[in-house]
Amino acid sequence: MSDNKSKSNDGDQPISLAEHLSTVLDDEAGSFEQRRVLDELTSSNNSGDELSKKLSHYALIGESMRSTNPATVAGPSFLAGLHDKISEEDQYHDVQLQDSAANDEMNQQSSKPSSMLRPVGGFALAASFAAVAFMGVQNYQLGNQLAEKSATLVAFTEAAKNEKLAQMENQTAVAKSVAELASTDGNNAITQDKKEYKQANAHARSFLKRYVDSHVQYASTSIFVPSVRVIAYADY
Amino acid sequence: MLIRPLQHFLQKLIVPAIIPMVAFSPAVHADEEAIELLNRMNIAVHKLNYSGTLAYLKNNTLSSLHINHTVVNGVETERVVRLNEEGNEVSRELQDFSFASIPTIRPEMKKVYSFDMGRENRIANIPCRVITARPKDRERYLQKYCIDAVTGMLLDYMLVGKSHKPVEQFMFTSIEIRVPEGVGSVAPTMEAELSLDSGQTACPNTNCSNAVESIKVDGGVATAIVDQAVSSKDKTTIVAPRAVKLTRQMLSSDLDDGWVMETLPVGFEMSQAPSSNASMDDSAAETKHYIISDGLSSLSIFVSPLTDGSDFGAVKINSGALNVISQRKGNSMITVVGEVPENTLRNIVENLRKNK
Repeated sequence: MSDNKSKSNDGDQPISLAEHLSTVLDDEAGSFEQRRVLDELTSSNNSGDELSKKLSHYALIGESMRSTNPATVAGPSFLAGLHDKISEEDQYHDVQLQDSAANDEMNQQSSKPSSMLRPVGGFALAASFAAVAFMGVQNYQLGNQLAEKSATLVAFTEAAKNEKLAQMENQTAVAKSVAELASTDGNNAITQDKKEYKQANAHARSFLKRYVDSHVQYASTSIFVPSVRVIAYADY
Repeated sequence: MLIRPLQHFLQKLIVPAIIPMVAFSPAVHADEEAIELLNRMNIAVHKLNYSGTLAYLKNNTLSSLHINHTVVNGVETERVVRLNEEGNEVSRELQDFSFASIPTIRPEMKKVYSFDMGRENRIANIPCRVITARPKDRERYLQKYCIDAVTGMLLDYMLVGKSHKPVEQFMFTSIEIRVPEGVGSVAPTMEAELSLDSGQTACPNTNCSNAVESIKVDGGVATAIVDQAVSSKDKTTIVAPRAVKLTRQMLSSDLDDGWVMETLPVGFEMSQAPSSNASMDDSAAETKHYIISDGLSSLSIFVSPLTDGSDFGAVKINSGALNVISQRKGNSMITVVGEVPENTLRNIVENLRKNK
């Protein structure tokens, strides 16, 4: 990067922003140049965006040169895929619901009021602080031993992770083959039920209105003026 | 040498110390306070006299209505006037309509909702407390209330979808609240007055209050007869309960005519409503109506024979929090309606099978 910059300085051509950026990264730029590059980076125009990309590239190149490990780049498609996965992810699965229910039951069972528990709780809190402090001292003494053990643990975890990944790949392959088989079977129940629903036309809306009325009449749990809902549904 | 036994002893001490701290945490008490206030609200909405202007937001449409709710001799009358529609004021007569919907927040509902006591707010110049019923899955909407702690009256009610945007909202912009004669205050003890003691859960989530006076149980379907007070005037809708037919709780997932509900979403229970309705035509008279509810969210399944006019394919409708989907299954038309996300309705339809 420095070579290119010096060539430019030797010639008559004006120095580009990219070259200024390079000098800033090499810590060779003056305060005026630094301010100019920073102003350009924070601007919202196209040249600012271009300069930001160049900064990312230069930083990545520098990081790769300084690091012995290969650098990895997360592309926009990867991030978009990640966001999609997060949005598709159910916040709570049945298992979590059951866990939550179990926790609720435990809380209910343990929430029997007792005046004795408050002082015991206070004592226990103080004791827990003492325990944390004590264990901190102990951990300090055993630090060297732990360091050796942690190195072994890291190696073991790495091996376990690889094994788990291999298992997951196999499971995915099996699931894929099952899905392929299912897709070729026209009588498959799952594919039969996956309906595409279209927006109801006026005739269908008129026909289904009776069901809306019956639902609001018998089943709606709306505690707040359900008549408003009924009137509003007349609009749909 | 003393380190390990002492560490073991302290670890044993920490566990019992944490449990009572969790059990007596403010969150647990706030949870119970929220449920208590919600139950008070459920009663107040039906027992108080109130009139006011209501802003109603559905999808991206805002409208305003005037509500007048009165209770005379235990009979509720509600008058709703639409204020901002062009020459199309509401004049809709609803026969046999019940507004006596009083759900009770039951402890088991905490399996699927977490109830949070929120901040103080002010709606229609009245201080109110925000309470949130937050679902623990995506099968139902988040429900947000703002309740006047003095009267228990609900002043603001919002249903929020998974994109964290309100799909429907009711909010009073002005309200006058009056306690009906003969009712001292809307206290939690009024809940006992409204409970059924027949041993049968005739109305697990709906239609309880006006049915208390006289309940007849016939063939497992409880029917409550209340006074008739239905009338209609220009620009208004006046509705009151007439003959409230209560629902019957179902103990199994076997429906009529060989239909089976294979899996219900967690927290939902099923009951059956009367299958016929005088306002429907002949085909609708054969329609079976099943109700699935968790106490705060509900949906209806209608199983009806396929007729010439009803086979319009797989269709859907969305109106605020309400979703409707309908599709053919065999020789039947399955229609599912509910104030739940569309995906919940789809899952219900998929899990509905007919045994051969």
